[in-house]
Amino acid sequence: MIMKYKEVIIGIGAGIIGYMAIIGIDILPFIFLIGFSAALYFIAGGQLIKVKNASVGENKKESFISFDDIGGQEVAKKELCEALDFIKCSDKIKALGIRPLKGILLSGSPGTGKTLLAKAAAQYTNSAFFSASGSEFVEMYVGVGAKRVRQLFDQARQSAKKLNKRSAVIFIDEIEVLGGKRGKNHSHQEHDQTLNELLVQMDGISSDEDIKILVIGATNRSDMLDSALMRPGRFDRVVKVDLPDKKGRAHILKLHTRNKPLAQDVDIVSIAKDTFGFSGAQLESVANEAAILAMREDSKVITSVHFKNAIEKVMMGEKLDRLPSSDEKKRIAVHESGHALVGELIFPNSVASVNVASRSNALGYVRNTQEDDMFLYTLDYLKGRISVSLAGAIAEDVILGSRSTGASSDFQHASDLARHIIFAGMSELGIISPEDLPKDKLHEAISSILSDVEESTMELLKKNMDILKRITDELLDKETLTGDELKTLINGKAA
Amino acid sequence: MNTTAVKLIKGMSAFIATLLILFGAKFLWQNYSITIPLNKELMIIGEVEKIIVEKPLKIHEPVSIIVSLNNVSNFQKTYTEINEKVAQALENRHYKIHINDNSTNELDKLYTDISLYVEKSLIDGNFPELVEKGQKLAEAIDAETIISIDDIYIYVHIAKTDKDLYKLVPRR
Repeated sequence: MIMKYKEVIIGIGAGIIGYMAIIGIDILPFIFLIGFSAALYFIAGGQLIKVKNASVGENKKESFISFDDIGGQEVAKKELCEALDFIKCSDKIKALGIRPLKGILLSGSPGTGKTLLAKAAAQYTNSAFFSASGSEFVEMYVGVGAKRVRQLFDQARQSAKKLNKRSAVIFIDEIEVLGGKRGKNHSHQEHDQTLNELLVQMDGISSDEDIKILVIGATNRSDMLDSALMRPGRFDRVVKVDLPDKKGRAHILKLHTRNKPLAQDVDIVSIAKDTFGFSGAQLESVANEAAILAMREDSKVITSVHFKNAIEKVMMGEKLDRLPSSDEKKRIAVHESGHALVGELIFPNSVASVNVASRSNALGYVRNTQEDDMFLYTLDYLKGRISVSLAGAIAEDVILGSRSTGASSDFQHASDLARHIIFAGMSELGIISPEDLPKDKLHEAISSILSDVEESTMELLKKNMDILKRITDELLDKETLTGDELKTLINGKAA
Repeated sequence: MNTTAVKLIKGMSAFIATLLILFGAKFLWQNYSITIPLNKELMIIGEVEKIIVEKPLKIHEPVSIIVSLNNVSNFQKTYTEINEKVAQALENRHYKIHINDNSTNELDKLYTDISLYVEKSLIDGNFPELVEKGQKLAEAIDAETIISIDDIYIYVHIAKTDKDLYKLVPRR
């Protein structure tokens, strides 16, 4: 507020000082004081004044996002809507004696649309919407965080009154910064005070108030939150916001391509299939990158090729100009061909593309896809994945007679999968207690799984040596092979 | 218009508006606390014909009160009354009273002659001599001199027909 009318305040100050000078008051002490304050302000980098006046929370008037604009997250939306109905139909819930919800915690991975859900919640309930980030409450000065919490709640109430709304939604993003477990923070006194103030403010929300306040918190570390914050009466509901499934991804992609000209060959469902594990934000990035690629090529429509390249760019980063030597390039091609061949043989239709073009930290890569989302893994599936991971190094061994350092991350991945098998009780050790398992036993079990899989993979590759060589040659020639081209090569239909 | 220009105009407007408001408030306040009470108090005195109040610009300057007198028979009594009324109206404020007269060159010259005896009386304390010499000098030009003394001032009133000269000489 003060900063908004800075020039007027300076003008008034100058007017007062000028008047004092004219009527004969000695203004030197005032000038000294003003100069001293200005020097302090500049030395502190503007912080002194900011700390005094800073408040958190921003009233978003422009957030016209409805639940229909959010793709996927059907379960989260349903649960959130149910909770929000308590605010919308306050008379009904009063009649039934239901205590209104005070807070909803949205928990999930980054980029899954928690902020969008909160904005849609404000729109759904026709509430004033205030958003703040947990880090905005963190300050080196004791008491400032607590003051900001109070200010945020006051602002929300006043703003709702001004806008003639009956309720206000306060959205606190990254709430783990503010609501982390007490006593574990280095600056715990200030941190605890801030959290205590939030708890007090949430306790103060009653159903009888003119303005109903709902606090929506978002976090991707719900395990870090203080138990007091999670108890009923504070954050009454925890809504899990997961990565979208295939249907959800297709919905998100449809939303993000609404305003983009798509070519006839673009199949959203197929793109959704190729983007397993992508968050809403990543899918938005895919749609955007595809449009950028189309613009680069002066294309008026976005084609499926643009989308495929965009997926790879979002997943692996921008294509680099880094050129490995011809020997290295061959080794990379052999390595990736090994992954691709074994992948396609064990999990048919699982390879989306094979590349030997450098992107980010990878010299080459195989992008996998899967027909349907999976939530449970069998022993055969996990062993198959280990086999795919080891196949790169084994292919190098089979064709070039030696291995390279390029496979270290593959081995790490294979070891993790083997550990998963052991801890799930699917190894020769049977059901075990992960905490009580001696390290050497674990090592032996992992080695045993890996050597078994290595042996079978070696056999598989030796049996398909011709196809492996054919894929390597084709890859060296083209740099990129699509899943369909790979299948054609495996089936021996190549020229 | 760019943002800097708008800010500059806003700042200047605030500066000018502040000065106008402060000086306006000062004018009104001085009017109600000085001019009106002084007029009310002094115009009761019959010998006071007109008063002009010069309000000070600076805070430590005294209020200047210019009083025009008419038909004064006892200058000392009239001045003392004026002084008391002004002190009552202005309370603790500093002030200066200037007595406005309608003197002529002839009267001025006469006072110049009398002033020598005034200075002498201030040194030797021979005030009767001062009164005597004053009257003698006045008679020479058909004028009348009334000199009176109190602890603070020597009051000199020289009159000829409708012309008057008033002088206040501090004794210290």
